[in-house]
Amino acid sequence: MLASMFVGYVGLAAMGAICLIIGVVALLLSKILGPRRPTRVKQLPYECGVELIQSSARERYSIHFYLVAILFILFDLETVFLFPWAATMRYGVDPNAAMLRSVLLTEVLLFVGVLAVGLFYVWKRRGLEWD
Amino acid sequence: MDPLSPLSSLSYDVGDFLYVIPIAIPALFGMIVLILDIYLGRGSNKTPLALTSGLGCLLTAVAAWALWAPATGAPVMAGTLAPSAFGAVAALAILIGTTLIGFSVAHHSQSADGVGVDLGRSIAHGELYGLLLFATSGMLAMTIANDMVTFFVAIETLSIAVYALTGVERRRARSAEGAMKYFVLGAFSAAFLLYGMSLLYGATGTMRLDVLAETAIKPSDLPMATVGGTLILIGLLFKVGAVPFHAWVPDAYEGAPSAVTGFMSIGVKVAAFAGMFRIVEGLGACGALGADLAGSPVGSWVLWFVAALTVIGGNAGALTQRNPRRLMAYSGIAHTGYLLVALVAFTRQFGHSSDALNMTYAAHDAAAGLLFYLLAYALANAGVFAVINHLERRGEDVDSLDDLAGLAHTQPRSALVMAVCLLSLAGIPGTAGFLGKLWVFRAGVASGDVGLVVLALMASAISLYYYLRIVVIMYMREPQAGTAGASSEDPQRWCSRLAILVAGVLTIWLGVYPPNAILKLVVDGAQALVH
Repeated sequence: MLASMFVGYVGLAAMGAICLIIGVVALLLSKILGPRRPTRVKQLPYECGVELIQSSARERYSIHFYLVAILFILFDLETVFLFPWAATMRYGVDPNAAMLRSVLLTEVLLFVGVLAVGLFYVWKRRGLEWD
Repeated sequence: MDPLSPLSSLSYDVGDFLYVIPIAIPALFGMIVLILDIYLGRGSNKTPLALTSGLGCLLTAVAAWALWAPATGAPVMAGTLAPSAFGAVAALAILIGTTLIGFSVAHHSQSADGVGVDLGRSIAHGELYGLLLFATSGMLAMTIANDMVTFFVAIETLSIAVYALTGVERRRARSAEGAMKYFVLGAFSAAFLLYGMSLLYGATGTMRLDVLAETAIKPSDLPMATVGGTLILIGLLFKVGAVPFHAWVPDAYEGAPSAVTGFMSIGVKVAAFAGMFRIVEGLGACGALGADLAGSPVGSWVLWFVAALTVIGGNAGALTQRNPRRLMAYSGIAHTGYLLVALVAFTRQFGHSSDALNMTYAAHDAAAGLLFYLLAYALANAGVFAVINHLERRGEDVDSLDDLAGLAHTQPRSALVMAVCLLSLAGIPGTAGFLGKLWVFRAGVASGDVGLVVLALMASAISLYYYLRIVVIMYMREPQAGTAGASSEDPQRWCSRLAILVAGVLTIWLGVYPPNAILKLVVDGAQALVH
């Protein structure tokens, strides 16, 4: 009984095992076979090709980074929600169902409206300015 | 239905949106106060924010009473909500907390002279009220959620707002510590809750509580359902601060500003208990509380022990506390214990004992007792914390019971309300707390848990020691120089005065002559839960 519950997961487990093996083997091979000629520049952390900003991560940096990141996530999520909504409205909803369409439209407008209030608040509180 | 054919009609009635109104109003007013605060400008009088929040809460209370109370508890909105009088009473208790605490914060953050515990220096006032109202919205949704996903979203809405509120005084280490502990343990308990819900879904194939209650679980799936139900209960017991899941309570209560502590101690507990009763109703009816043991499900015996431990642990812990907020934290744990007595009585109906009819009566009593107790508890706690907030404006926190010395001489009215509210918490006749306890314990006796009730009674006799000690300190000690009791007059005081007055008057009113409308609502609420 219990075993039958997990039969469906065998494929998943096999995929996990294969991923693990490929990952470990690839890393090991490059470690064993790859030539190593370290220079100072090569040892530096890679930061998108620009000069190293700071030597250690354990330093204080501006709280603004967090604020921007959080706002980004917020509006990123808005987009993520809006795409499937738009696709559903276009293909998944009967074009003649006026009631349903207006309810769905109102709901998404409410959602965007709430986020707009948030944006307005952050803007007015000068959260979008860097200093 | 073919999954690829276009959707042509709503799966619910558009009129169902009416039931969402009481949840939507606090969220709407939360946004309004945020925006309003911007236009009030820095350093201006922030009383309009408190008034706006109060108006929002009032409208919500009216809407909840008008829209939820007549509803039968049948699921609406495609099964996500089940509005009933049960939700309406719980909503009233929550709104009492939000309104009174909101009004006392109006004073708290008001200090015109710049001294005093000014929450507004740590956080914008609008955000404080906004968070209070957003949390309230989540709490209200919890009381009528019928779908476990809705329930979880509601509990997270309230939790995230309350985590932020706990850490509101971000420059104080205590506040940050309390918020961190609360957040980490809260996230942990949310994981328990979610895992339990997913296991239960795996075993029953439904997330809806009303469907769950009518599901007959296959014997082979019963272990999974029971484990799921247990994990859900653990998550909720954590939220209400039951022993042994109570460790975060004293630290979070001590770290948070008093106003927030008051709000937490009322809203979170009321919402979590309302939600817990509704979920336990589903769990018990589908048999996920376990097989029968001596006539009732194993789960109700487990809750029996949790209730006993909580009653003892809360009262024993409170005995030695010197900090009023820590004391109220342990007092809150003790009250969780008394309410768990009601929960135990409630779960007895799910057994297959010979006196099943009596058990149904006991369950009905337990649900009604719970609702009345929550109202009484909300009023009394709001009163105590409103007084503490009122006193805290002199710059020093009320960090020790000694700060309350001689309050009866310096602030006779505040001291009187504080004494009344403490007596109500202790369960002295003539106060709402007495009727609440009477009702809950009567349910316990009716369900045959006489031992547990005796234990709770002895524990509440012990609780008299620490409640009356505060009264003694207020009335029989001379005021210390420079304590909070000697605070100066302030023109903005009326907001917190009003909150204190309302808490005191309602505590007495509900205790001496509870209005019929409230009693009827309470009984209707129990009726909606226990058929």
